[in-house]
Amino acid sequence: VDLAKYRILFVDEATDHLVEMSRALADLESGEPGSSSDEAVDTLFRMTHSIKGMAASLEYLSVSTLAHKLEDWLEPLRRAGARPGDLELIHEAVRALEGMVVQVSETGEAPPADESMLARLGAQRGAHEPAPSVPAAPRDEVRAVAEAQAAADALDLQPPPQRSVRVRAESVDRFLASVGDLMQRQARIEVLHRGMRHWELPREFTEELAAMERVVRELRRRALDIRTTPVRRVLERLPGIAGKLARALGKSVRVELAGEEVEVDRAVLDHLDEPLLHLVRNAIDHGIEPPDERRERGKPPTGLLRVSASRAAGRLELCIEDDGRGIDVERVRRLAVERGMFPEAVAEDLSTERVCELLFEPGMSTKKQVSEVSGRGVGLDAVKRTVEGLGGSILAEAVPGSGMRFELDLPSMVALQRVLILWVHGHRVALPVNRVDRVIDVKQGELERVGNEIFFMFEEEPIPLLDLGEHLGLGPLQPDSGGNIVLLEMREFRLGLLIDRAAADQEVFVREVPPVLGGRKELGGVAVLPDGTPVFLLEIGVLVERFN
Amino acid sequence: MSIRVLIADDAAYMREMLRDILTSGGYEIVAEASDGEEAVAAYAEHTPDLVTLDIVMPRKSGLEALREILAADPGACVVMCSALGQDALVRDMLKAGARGYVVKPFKPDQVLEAIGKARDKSEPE
Repeated sequence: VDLAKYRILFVDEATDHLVEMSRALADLESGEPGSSSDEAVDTLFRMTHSIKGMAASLEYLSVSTLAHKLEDWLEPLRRAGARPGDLELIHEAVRALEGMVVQVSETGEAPPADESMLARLGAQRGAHEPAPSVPAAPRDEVRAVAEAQAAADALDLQPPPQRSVRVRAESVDRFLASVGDLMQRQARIEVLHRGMRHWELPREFTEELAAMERVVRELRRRALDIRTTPVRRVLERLPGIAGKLARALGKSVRVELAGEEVEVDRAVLDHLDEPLLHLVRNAIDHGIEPPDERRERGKPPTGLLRVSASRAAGRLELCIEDDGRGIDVERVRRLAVERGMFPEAVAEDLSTERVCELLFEPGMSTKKQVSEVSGRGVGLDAVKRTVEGLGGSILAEAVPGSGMRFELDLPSMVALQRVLILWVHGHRVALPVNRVDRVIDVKQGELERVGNEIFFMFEEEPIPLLDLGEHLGLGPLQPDSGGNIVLLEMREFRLGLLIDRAAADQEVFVREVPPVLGGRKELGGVAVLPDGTPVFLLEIGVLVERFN
Repeated sequence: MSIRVLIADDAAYMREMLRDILTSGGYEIVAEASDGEEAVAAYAEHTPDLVTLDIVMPRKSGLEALREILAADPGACVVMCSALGQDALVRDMLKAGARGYVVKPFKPDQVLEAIGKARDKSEPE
């Protein structure tokens, strides 16, 4: 038996268990009576039981004995419930076990027995309830029956909450980035493999390839699981913020949340905080009327703000609705005319729907201008940009009768990628940074033309260049006043992309290329830059293939 | 054909240990499950020749999983894994149709012997 391997497994798993036990103790301390405390005691019992078993098999008798004592001690709590005084002792026992596990991990040896902890567990137990005396031989029939009874009780308990471990968000992000990378490479391999269908490949090889495809798909599924989190995380703050703001403005508001349990990509959620706050603030600041005004209009003095999330076909729908004074259509029309957006005759005919759309125009978005209208529109253009950057859309609607309703339609999953932005004849395209080796400045004289081909001398080696302007059908580039070359990261050979210049790299959300452009294989996806401009991602493999 | 085994235990440590012991005994591990519910699902998916089932597991206990597996496949060969002192519980399991049991901490030859016996019982006479 490979002891070192089991020692590592033991340390890992026991550490996880002890973290979970601390969490269960915290749950017990928070004092919620009822089922949650049953679950917490059950978790403590199960984790202790598991540590005991592992330690026994490695012959760490000090650990297994302490775990055994703790298990015995926890057993009556499963029926009687825990009392405040009990928790302190359990805490100490957990800490003692933690110390032992650390010792195992550092020295690889069995730690010495903690006699005082054992004694305390033994002494306290007597006070707790008249239970069978503890230090019985393992085969003692009485104790065996008691333990079996306890275990049998465990079987009848409700299922405990799903196990979880604490992981740094950064580690998760790095892991997910690697999974993303792996998936890209896998996709590439699949393409290459299809190109080899006329080759005679060894059967074992193609079988392994197919097996790997399955594993990568499975990995992808699990990675997606890790990426999702309930929208509760951003929604649950809203009532508090809304209440505070309302009080400050002498208003009264009730916030109703729905669909907090809907799961969504963390990357999407991380960007929703700001837009949602914006919309909630707007609704309270400018939508909901003061209580007196509401009474005059025959409304209840307390305003209502509903924020709901729902999921449909891979999309997340968020809806923010208030019962305030709504939009002043006439004033928005007038403002649009004043700002030169429409001639008066056209503005008069604008439908209410169209007027709502105008709220998202940048020109309508400064507070002063719009609060003259109806107070709507503060920063709504910024909200719209964020939502569109995520690959979503936003819609404003005047609720018949009163109030406003904003609907956000978002992808529930996005692919986050770091890209380099390349300028070519005033157009921008994006290149995943993982394909970039470096960016080099060049001047006209440094390029050599041989027939139709251009080369660049780098590290005493002629590097073939692909003129991106020409390849994208924008016309050949003339780097006379200087340009940039992007040296690609390739295994077999070196290749440079000739461009006008490269801008700083940034993270973007990548979406699939719309079906209408589906035939353009050199486009690997589309992303919206923070300024609202869409850019296409270059599928570099396809470009290289053509080049060859 | 090697004998195909499903291992169900909530502790990764125990699964790894069983995997090592059983592999050394010439068994093939076709799946692992970390709770009772997964065990039932994995049984349906792989229909292994043998299952090792831990008694104390989350979501669905060993006993519940045992009953569901046997309900779906009365011929299933299930061996329970128990800790020392769970004797009464083990008797319940055997009554419910488990073919045998092994006691933690695992000793490789004891595990292989117990599983071998359980297999013998399940072979047609």
